[in-house]
Amino acid sequence: MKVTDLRRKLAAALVAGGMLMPGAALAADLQTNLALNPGFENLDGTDSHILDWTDGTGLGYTYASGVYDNGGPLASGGNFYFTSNNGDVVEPGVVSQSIDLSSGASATLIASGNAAYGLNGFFSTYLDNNDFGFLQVDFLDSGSSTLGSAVLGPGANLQTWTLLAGGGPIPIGTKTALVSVYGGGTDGGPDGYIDNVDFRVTDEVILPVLDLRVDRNDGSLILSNQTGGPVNISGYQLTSAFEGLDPNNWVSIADNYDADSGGSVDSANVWSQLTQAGAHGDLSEGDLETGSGGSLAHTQSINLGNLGTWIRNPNEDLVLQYLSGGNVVTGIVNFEDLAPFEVGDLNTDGIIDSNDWAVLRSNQHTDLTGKSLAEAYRLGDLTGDLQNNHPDFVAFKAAYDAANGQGAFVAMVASVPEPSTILLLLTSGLFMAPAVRRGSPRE
Amino acid sequence: MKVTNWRRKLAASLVAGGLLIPGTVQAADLDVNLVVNPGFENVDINSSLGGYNAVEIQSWTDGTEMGFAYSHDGSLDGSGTAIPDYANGGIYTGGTPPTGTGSFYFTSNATPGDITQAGQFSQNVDVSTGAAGTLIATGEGAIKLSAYFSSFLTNGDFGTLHIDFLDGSSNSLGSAQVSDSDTTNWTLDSSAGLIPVGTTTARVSLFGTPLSGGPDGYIDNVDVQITNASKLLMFMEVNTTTGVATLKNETGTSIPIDYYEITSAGNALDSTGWSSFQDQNLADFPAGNGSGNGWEEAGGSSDGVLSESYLTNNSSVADQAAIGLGALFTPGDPQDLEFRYGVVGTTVLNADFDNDNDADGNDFLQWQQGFGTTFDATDLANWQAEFGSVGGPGGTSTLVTGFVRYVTSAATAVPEPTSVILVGMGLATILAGRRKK
Repeated sequence: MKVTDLRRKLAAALVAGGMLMPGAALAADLQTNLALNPGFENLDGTDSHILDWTDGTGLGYTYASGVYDNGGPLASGGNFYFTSNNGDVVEPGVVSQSIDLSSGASATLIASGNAAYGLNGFFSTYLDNNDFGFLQVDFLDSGSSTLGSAVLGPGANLQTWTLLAGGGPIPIGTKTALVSVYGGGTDGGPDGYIDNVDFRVTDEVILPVLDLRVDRNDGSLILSNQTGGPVNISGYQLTSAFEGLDPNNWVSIADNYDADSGGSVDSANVWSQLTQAGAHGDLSEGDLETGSGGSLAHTQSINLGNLGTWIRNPNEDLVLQYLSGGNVVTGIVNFEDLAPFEVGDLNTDGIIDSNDWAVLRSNQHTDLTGKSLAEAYRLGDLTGDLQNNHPDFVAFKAAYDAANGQGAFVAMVASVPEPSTILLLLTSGLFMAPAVRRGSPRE
Repeated sequence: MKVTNWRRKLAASLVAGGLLIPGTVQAADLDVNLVVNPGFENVDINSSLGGYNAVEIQSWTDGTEMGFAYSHDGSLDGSGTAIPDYANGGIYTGGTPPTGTGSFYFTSNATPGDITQAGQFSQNVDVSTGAAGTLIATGEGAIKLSAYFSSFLTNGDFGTLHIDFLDGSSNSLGSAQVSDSDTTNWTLDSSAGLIPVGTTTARVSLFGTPLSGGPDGYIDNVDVQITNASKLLMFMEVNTTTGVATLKNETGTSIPIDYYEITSAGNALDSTGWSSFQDQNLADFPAGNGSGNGWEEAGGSSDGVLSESYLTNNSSVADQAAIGLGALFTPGDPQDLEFRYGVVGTTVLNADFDNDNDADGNDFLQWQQGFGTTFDATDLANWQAEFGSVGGPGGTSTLVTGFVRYVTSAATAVPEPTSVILVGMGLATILAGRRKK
């Protein structure tokens, strides 16, 4: 089923990248917040340390809402919020809470490989001194080894309490989620403030923004909405500094999904392509008539590019930006399946071998003017100057040697067997030949 | 200092304006060091105008600045104060400077404002006359550069010996240089390059590049020589009557290559007449089968460029080798060929005790048998560091620009009639043989 497939692919990509995108609030309509004392309201009667967040190496403390927090108090924030600058908590694993996921429905779901998590919290800071908080979850196996982790944090000043949210797959084998709060900063103590932490296990991956899936196998593109609700889109731009986009294979909304084509994205307006013919650095289009655009429903996916829309190369540099509700939003781009291509794997089959050499040599000193950087790369221009000449040969030879062992051939030549050995080989070959024949089916 | 500096600047501007001819330091002979005061031993110990108690260097007066020297050996200035040493590998670091470097060396950081580019601290060498002038006019003049380099501690600063090739109007036709190759002790670094036709002056400059604080580039024993390019570089000899080209190595050493290219902006090449290594499948230049296991022609070879490369190994062009590459030049076309080749690096093993081009167990056995007599602990350390390594040429190549020499058949001695017939018959036989192939 498609959704499951998507989830698995996302799992691989997100785990591999350790990636989690901060963004808009997610629809937290799934299971339940598993964090205890999520608003940091329960404090120890003696020294006021935060209760329940005591599974790390230290204790956490709070400030009173509305005292130091930019934009405070947080309306739903109760009386207290976590601050990282009492004792300077600057790394995960200090003020932490272990959440047991080894039993019940979450355990079953995790074992199936279909479990996802939702993580969110409110963040603020002290004035404009460039401190900020982090909310991290580490997924631990039964031996407390980390299987994956994700971090939320604004990474910059916040003028007011801001909800950051993210989600992703939970790795199979996870028994414990270790949720940590901490801060970082550049000015004095680390004044990262955090409140209303929410960690939950769900059966559906929820992403904060639209995501683009790029298939390394064939270079096709799929734009997908996994945000939990409909997303307005009135235009987008997909860029590649390495000019790795082929507009000939582009499946645009203007030609396929707008009011005068399929209508599945925008049934009311006619979109226009903005990409110039022959451009390889950008694919862009929009509803230029009304600017209101259409929308992608939750779980809706559209084919945005047929085979070869992404010119497969080692530079996975696609950037997606789209217009939604009048705002420019940066989407998630995930490259899926296979491993990233190495420099020198000119035919993108996953290995650097004589077939790649054939590509390089047959295009040596050919005229590459007019090609995009990515196109020229695929024809042996490893140095990005639209030429395939000596520097490219040097770069390829280095990559070839790295992949196949420097001097491998030299060693092979040097170890030409002595005559008696050759005789032995020939003899054994003679014995082998009938054996092979015997093994083959008779007609 | 100011007056001197001003005078030099005026001189420089006069030279630039063509009002003053740069001074000839000596007749430009071949294969001799053309630099005056190359070791900076001629200094004014009473100048005291430089920083750090460095003393003023004489004879290097064709740039915009004066240069200063530190001392290897604590020589005294005019007031009896020791001139300091700051060089890695010198007495400052408890080392011993290379023999023959005398008492003084150039530093780029003792001139007020520092010496950080070519033209500031310079010496002009007139190469317009004599043997050098004649050779340069043929296009086969080459320059050889070398100097000792060091710097201050390990702060990454480095010195550069830079040559600008100037024509009669002091316009630059090109340049060549060599820089300090490491951040440790005094090391001798060298370089070479072709001299552009039309060069009348080689302006020799020294400067430092700072990576930490001031530019502590230290340089000593500068050596700049002009020599016949064929002693340094391989060349392509092209017969403009027949179009036949021959790769020649007259450098005195074998040169391992894995690439060459011959280019012609005017499409004077003839790709059909080209007889490549791949075509010939010579013993030392095996033809590849497409997998990179020998020499293979570039797919884009044309009348504008002919090129071949060897992916998985390299071939050595022996000294005095002359390898025909067929009639790759179109007689009558512009003589605008350029020839370049990729020279692979050579690994020199210190622990190849049995001289079989590797460092393996047999070498360890040799060491054991010779320990205390032939070998010592240093040899063992070398063996440990190099165990498993293979010596000789390998890895990737550096592109070197060779030169092209045009000859005509008429230039060769006319053979006697009988010989002509014999040669003609021989040719016919060879051609017939080729046709059969």
